[in-house]
Amino acid sequence: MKRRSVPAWVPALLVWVLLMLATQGARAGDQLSPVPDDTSDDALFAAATLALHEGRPSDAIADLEALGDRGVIDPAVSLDRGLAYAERIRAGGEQPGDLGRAAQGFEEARDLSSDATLTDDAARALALVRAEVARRRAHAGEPAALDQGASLGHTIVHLLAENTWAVMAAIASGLFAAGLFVRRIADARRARIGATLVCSVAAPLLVLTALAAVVARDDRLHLREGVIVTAAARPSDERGIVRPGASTLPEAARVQVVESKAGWTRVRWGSLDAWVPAQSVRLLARPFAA
Amino acid sequence: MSGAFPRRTARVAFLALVAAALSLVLFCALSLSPALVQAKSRPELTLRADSATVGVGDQLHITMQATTDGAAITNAELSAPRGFSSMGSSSGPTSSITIVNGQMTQKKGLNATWTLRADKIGSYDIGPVSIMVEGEHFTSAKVHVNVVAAGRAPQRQQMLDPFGSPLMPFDPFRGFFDNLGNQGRPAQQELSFDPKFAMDAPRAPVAFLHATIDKTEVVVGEQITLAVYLYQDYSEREPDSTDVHEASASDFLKHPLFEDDASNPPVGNALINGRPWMVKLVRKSALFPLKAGDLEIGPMSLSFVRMRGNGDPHRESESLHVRVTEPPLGGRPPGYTLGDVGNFTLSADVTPHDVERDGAIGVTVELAGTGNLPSSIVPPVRSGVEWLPPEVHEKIGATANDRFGGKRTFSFVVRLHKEGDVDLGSLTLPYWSPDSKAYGVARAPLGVVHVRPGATPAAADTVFDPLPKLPPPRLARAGAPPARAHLADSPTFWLGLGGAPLAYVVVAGVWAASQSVRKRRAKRKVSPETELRERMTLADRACQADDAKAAYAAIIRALESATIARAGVNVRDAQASQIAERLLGRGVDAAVAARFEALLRTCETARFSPEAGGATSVVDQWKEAKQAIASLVARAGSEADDDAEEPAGSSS
Repeated sequence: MKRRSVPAWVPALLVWVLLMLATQGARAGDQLSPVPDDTSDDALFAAATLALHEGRPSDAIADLEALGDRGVIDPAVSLDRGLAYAERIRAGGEQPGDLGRAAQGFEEARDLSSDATLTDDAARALALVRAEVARRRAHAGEPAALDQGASLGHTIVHLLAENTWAVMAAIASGLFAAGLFVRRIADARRARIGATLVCSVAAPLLVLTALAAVVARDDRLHLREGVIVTAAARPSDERGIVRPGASTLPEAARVQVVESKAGWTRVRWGSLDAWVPAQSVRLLARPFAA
Repeated sequence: MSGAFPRRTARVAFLALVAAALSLVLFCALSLSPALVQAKSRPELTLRADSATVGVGDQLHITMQATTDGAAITNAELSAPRGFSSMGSSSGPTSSITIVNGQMTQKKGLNATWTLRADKIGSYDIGPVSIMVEGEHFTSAKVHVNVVAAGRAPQRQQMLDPFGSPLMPFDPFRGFFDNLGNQGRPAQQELSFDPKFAMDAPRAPVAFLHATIDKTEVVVGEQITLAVYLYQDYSEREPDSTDVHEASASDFLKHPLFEDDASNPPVGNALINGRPWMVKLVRKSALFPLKAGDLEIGPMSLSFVRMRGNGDPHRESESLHVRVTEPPLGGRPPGYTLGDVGNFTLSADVTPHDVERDGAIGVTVELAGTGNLPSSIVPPVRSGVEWLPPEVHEKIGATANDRFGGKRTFSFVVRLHKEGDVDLGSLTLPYWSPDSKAYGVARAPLGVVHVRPGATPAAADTVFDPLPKLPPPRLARAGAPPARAHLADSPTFWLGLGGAPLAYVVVAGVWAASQSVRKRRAKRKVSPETELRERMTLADRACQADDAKAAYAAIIRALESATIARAGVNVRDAQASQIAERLLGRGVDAAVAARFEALLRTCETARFSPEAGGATSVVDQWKEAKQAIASLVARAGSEADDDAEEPAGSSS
């Protein structure tokens, strides 16, 4: 059987069509911006770590901030972001607020991570950044204290995990109920005395642990915290007028965010409760937000 | 002969008919021709470019003006030639009314402008533009444009005369001021009215302010053009203004788009409710929103002085609202800063490329384009490269098409502390382009600088390190923290927590309640009234049986129970003669007491000799006994109540 040969013009036409498509594609590419093709989260992170390795902290910052814009919550990303800002300071290209942003990255990594090594690294880097801020403030004749500490109640509540408080409350509840039953049912005097003792210990323990669980849950759901990312945020009143005589909130200080309105954020730092410009505070990502 | 005449007559008649028909056709043609000519007249169509020579990357505006004698013009189309990119287009209808000695003629038109960007050097014919007029297709002539290398094009002249604008083809004052000197009122007015200035009704008499914006939905940093116009009634004298308050726009960055705020140039005419108004441009500003949300642009206000009449001299423009969003997150390039919106280009010049260690080089960066040009550029930080703060020069202001832009030059001094070939990296500026609705990145590569060894040896690590011993970066992502279940989030947990102690309370309560019920039942079981009911039931049954002896005995027990239950006195151990006395002592009526005594005696006697009465007598006795029981009630306040328990206890 004779095989039909392909006409000569067919390959020529194909080549022409391909050339036209390629030309059109190139023209479209010229018109549009040269945004990188591979912009997946992993690719951005890889580019950022490479930039950090090659001593290009600004590029690393751009990539890691882009990940943050996309809503990526990852302790390693936060740690590397803090390191990128810190490296920019070390390289002599410091921009205003870099120390605060570095501290925010380390604080976030510490909060988010359950890996002990990463948490230790973040805490160590955070201490370095805070020490540098304190040194600069001391040079400028300003108070060097950056950590105002939490209230006693919150400190106690955050000694244990929320679920630990909940389990303790459940145990106390069970003991209290068992003591009450034994006290009523038992005929033996020793048993009744023992049951009374258990009840008297379990009842206040139940109240305290349940309260701690409630506070821990409330903090988890509603407490918003941030870090000051300007060299010095001036505390203002509700009208935005700077409070006369009030000391500035130091860069890299961790603050509680009480509320926000157009362009302003109300923060609590120790006993200080004031409004600061919204761009002065960068919020920390919450690890287990509902 | 007779046959020829009619034939000739018929021929003449036929010719006459033909002539008449031709005349009619000619008449119709002549009479209708102006209308036909008018309906199918060719529109006046012009096409022009704002410059005959442009550079690569420059923008070129192609303007088409078309007018007809009333016919609507649609579908103006221009396909961008090769070597040009289309950046957008705008078009708008125009309308003009000419009043000549009271006779009004109207013209309609369409103005369209295309913005092209020159991409390649060459000589191009642009056009033609095609339009549709009542279904018919018309095309314009072409315009010729030369594209030269970037920066080689001759400087374009700014069109300062608003009436020379291609968008304003009709001179509203043509023939207007020429005749003002005659009688104060022109004998011949020719005004053209721009539909874009039209309003449903004037906002105030004599003169008023009217504010407009070109967009109501933008992204953060995108330009909005705010224009405030002063409308002035032609028939009124121009009032002077005072106490001018600018439009407030606290959520925007505001730049004026024309320099002289006091000039107030007329920009057109408006026909409102049949009256002509002169429209003057009072303010034109570029506003750049600083944040997302529904933002408000406040009104501009002023007061008129020496205004005719006693009306309120205060005038205020409208408050305007703009919905501002953020550019999309999808496709957002790394390093994008919110607010960087426009079309930007970056270029950089590095000199020299060869320097000694610790020497300095100059890096001049030029940022150009339209939009809100960033005020700073973050240099690419590298180890051993020290960027000193830049010196900034700028030349920004209004550009073509009311766009704000220009160029900003940053002159950096960079010191190089590392020997060898140092790659300075590149400057990048990501931005959002509202024209193409896409992100772009302006880049300027800085190249490599060769750093020679210096005259003095490099000092080893004498530079202060503010952050020594930082931990190493993580090379792999740790992943999002796992979502943990929290006991406190579960209502079951809180129910269980309170449930255990509550279970005790419930059990103890139920136990106490059951004990109480049990006691009450026992108490109710031994009550005299209960006993009376039981005795009466037994007496009923006994009376229905044949045993009269037993029936009498049952009646006696019922009567005795009745005295206990109703009078609170026990008569079981009483002598027959004492029964009435005891009942009387409890306040029972004497007749009832006597009746009880009689009944008990009778029954007692009959009990031991039942033959005396027989079964029928027993039934009668029981009926009487029941009546007596029913009538037995102790008087209130008697001592019966006090001792009620005692006989009941004794009876049990």
